[in-house]
Amino acid sequence: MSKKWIIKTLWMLVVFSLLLTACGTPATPTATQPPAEPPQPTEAQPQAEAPTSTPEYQWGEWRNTDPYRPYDERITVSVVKGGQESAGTLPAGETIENNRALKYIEDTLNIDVVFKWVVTSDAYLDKLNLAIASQDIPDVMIVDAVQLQQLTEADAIEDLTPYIEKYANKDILENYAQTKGVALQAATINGKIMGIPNVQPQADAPIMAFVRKDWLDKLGLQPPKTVEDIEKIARAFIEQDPDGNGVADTYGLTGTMNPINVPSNLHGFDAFFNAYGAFPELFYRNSEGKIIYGSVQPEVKEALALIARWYKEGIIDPEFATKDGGKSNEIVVSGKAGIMMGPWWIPWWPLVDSVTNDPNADWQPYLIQDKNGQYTFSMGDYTYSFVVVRKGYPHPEVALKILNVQNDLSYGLNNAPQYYPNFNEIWGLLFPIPFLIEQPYVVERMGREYKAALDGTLDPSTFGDAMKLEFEQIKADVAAPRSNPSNWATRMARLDAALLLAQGYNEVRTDPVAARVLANDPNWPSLKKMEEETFLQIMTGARPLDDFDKFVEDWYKSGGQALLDKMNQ
Amino acid sequence: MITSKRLQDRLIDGLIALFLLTLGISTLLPLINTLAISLSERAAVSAGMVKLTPVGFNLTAYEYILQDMKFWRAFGISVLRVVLGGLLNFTLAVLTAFPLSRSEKAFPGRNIFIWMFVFGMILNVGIVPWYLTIAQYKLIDTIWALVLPGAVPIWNVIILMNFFRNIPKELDEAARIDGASPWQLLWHIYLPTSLPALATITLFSIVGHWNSFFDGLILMNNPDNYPLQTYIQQLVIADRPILHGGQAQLMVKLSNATLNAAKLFVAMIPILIIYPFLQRYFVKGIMLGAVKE
Amino acid sequence: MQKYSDRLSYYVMILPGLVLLIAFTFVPLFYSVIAFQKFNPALGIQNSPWVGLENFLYIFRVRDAQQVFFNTVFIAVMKIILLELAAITFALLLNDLRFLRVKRAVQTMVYLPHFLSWVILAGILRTILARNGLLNDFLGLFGIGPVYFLGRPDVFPWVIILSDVWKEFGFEAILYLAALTAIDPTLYEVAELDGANRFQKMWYISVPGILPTIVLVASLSLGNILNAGFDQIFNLYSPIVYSTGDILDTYVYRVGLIQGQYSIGTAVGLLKTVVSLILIGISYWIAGKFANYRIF
Repeated sequence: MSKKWIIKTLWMLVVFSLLLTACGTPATPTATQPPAEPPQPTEAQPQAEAPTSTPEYQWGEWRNTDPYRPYDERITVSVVKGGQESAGTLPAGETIENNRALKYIEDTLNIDVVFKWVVTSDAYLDKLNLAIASQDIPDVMIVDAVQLQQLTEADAIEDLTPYIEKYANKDILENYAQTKGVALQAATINGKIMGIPNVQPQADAPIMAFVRKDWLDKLGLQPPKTVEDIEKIARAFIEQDPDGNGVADTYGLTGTMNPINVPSNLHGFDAFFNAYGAFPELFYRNSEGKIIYGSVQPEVKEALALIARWYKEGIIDPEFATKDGGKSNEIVVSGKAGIMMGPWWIPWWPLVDSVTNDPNADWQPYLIQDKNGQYTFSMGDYTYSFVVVRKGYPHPEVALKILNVQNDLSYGLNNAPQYYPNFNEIWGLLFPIPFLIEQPYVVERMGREYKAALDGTLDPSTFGDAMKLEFEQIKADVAAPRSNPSNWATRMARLDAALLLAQGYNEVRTDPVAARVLANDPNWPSLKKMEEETFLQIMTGARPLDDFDKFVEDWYKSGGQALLDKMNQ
Repeated sequence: MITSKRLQDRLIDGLIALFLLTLGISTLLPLINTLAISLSERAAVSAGMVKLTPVGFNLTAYEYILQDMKFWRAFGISVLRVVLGGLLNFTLAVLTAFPLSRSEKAFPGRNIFIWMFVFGMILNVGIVPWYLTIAQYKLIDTIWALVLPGAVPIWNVIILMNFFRNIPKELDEAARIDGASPWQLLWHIYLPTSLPALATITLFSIVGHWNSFFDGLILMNNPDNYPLQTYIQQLVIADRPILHGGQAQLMVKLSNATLNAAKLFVAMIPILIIYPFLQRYFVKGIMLGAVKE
Repeated sequence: MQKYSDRLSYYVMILPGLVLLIAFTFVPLFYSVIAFQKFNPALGIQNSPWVGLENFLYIFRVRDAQQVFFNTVFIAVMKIILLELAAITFALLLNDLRFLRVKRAVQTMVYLPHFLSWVILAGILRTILARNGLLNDFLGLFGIGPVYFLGRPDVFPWVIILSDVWKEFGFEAILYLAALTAIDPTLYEVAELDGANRFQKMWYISVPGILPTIVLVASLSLGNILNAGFDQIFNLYSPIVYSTGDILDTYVYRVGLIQGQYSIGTAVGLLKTVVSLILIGISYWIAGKFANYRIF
């Protein structure tokens, strides 16, 4: 019963924390400055020393409602965080522990946020597990489903049932409502809501190809539509010296040691699998309504065959299987690759760095069709992480209150100030609880609205302050492409990539029943390890393709069949 | 006949010398390669052009490190743990080895104690209970977590104990007649006569403390408390990116590869500095460990 | 009177060491009982439910554990064999070398890697073993490769074994060099008069001379066949080579600490502890019996 660790969740969270720290999904910046300006050096220092002189805040009546009411006495809340490696991207003089957004949250609620520790994004989960093991947990923290279960069984966290309705603001409650109850249900154990669930924008799942249009044009190639096109372009990028430096030093496709990862994956091969009608890592219902496991279906073998062939022919980075995301980002940022597979938000990170280094780098997003000419993608769950409050902490509602103010800062609600023109790139660093409770389809909706405003069919003055600012950035980049990397990133993510998704696509996702069974299965980690190993080894040619059949057999035998039986009961 | 044999002998001598020299140099080639990379420019490194000599020689990586407060913070923690841990190891080794070097008659219980220590040495407790124990003591995120668990260097204790036992009994007895207490005996006679052994075990401790990374990784929750090897492990092995677009000017010259190579090299320097001593004493020390009776 | 105050002094001296020994070795041993629990850190040992041998049954059921056990023994045994062969050969050659300066220089060079941590060396190896790294360049001269050293499950164990030989062979040779200097030089002189060439001298005098040392090292190595080198593998492996490179210690770390299956991790660790203890006991016994070795 205790071995309910799910590696899948782990990787979800790793990507999730990457996503949080390095780029931004949801939040729309409103700024007090024109968007094109670089980040201003902060004047936070003197403010920090004189916390009473805060006339610039425009607090209203809302501050006297339950979701926002400041504490009479200043209270302290301890948190932990990933993202340390990106702290250098904050404006000069600001840090994770001391920045203007954080100070606004602290002043609004009359709280002090204390960071017990700040680690790199990749290390966050490991560290959190060690902290739980050493019984040294912060007052408020983000955990995954397995940890939620474990902490609940141990009676180590507060029951949040009485607080959600009372202290969450109406936007957050509305977003929960849009998941039709799935989110809160996921956080409920024995009838009690033990954590505040996230709501992940669904746009994060589809993996698209970002391709350097300037390289395509130079080599006289057409943009990709299919897997075959990707192959052709990748081959040309390797062989025809697209950067024109006379050295054969360019890569075709980049990859990482996690070639498949739901719900979001940098440098992932997921889209190629999807194009072959394969949905690895998902437990979904087939046409007969039975839950099946995507990784053991015959379509996976076809996709593996393709990738193994690509690897053999040198189209994929020959060392991808021992690289992590950071290492492969380096290839892209240094201008050695012209294709990057990733979700819609990668213009904010890492592509913005590529454009900073080389303003000619004209990255454009493309969706890959499947064999039937349709778009179908592996989707993540709406909810997979939770904010929990340490048992015995006297103010459990403070977690919700912080999330409320964070939401205001993201969307410029309740006159919340916006200090940062590059907010989308750094919000995860600014906020004490880097956590998303979003509308599931917010990305597509916003993309459509920006498009309508550009076409003149929608009046941009109807936008909130936050969207107004982004719209200014988009317009600026449309007028002078890539003159400002931040503007470019916002335009590419919010407009071009979001519009691709807004055209619609088919979704395949893990069944909620399956997710619950998985969380309690002792054999799952072992099965997962076997799968990862086998797929990587087949991809790199270390094992023949036909070993896939043996893997399928082993998978069913070593507990997979039992797992499916339990799910289909 | 004789001359040709001698010639052949000479030739073989030469060949052996040549072979061993080549072996010795190729043992060092990887280190030289790292040094060359740390001194080369970005483009040459990413193109894999740097072998044994720097290409586009520059010191940017080292200049960057000089200003990298996190690096020096970790460096400082390593120095602290070497000093603190070394002192603890030294003191406890001496204090433990001395009574254990007495006879069972002079120190009743000596035989039980020594078996406890030997058992403790060969007992390799699993990492999980070990971690939970240290967490239980609330040592996580303190420097004590790095120095206390290994504070009694049992192998060193045994080396030292054997050394003490080989000190002539006459010295001992002479002091006894003068009415010296065990403390005075230890301080005035045993310590001064054991200097080579003490130097050896101290070097053991220093190298051990400087080189360990794993305890730092799991016992420090806050990365600000990482010792240098852990810090480097996170950067170089776990490969966390550290450079960003914001530092674009720097990236023209510097890549993570050059920077990491430079950090590896700087982390090696303390070992290189004490290496002459290491060579002198370790060679003796490894023999000390195996006293035959 | 003096006798009693002396004894008191001895007890005072040994007390700090004893307390630390108990606190950091015997208390964790007690903590190992969580191998028989379904341990939940927030509940602690007192309140976590007992499950008997369930965790051990689980270990014997999953295929990971067998694979990991095999990998551990294979890597450790190959390391011992190749390392000793290399060290013995090196010591014999070095002993035969008449140019003292060359001897010194060579020793200085080959001992160095021993003192560097696996973190540093792994950082270096990752560069050397890369596709455009030094070693692949070298192999390229002979038309071999490039080899994906860290990403090929069939190659990876050998990378581990040989890089360990590289790091340690020089230092390991010290033992044999010492044994060689202890050989009576008149033996060589007599052999020379009998017309023995240098390789015959090596084979018939030097090798028998260091045989006790070889026996000693071999028997003491027995205690190490479940230690395949955590620091080294931890810093070089990745999921693609788990099938051949994952060892007991890395497995326990990942499963037991990072994935939070504390009881499973402890159970594997406890098995290793017990088996190691028995092996070390046997090895000390053999070493004492056949090489006259006592640690005290």
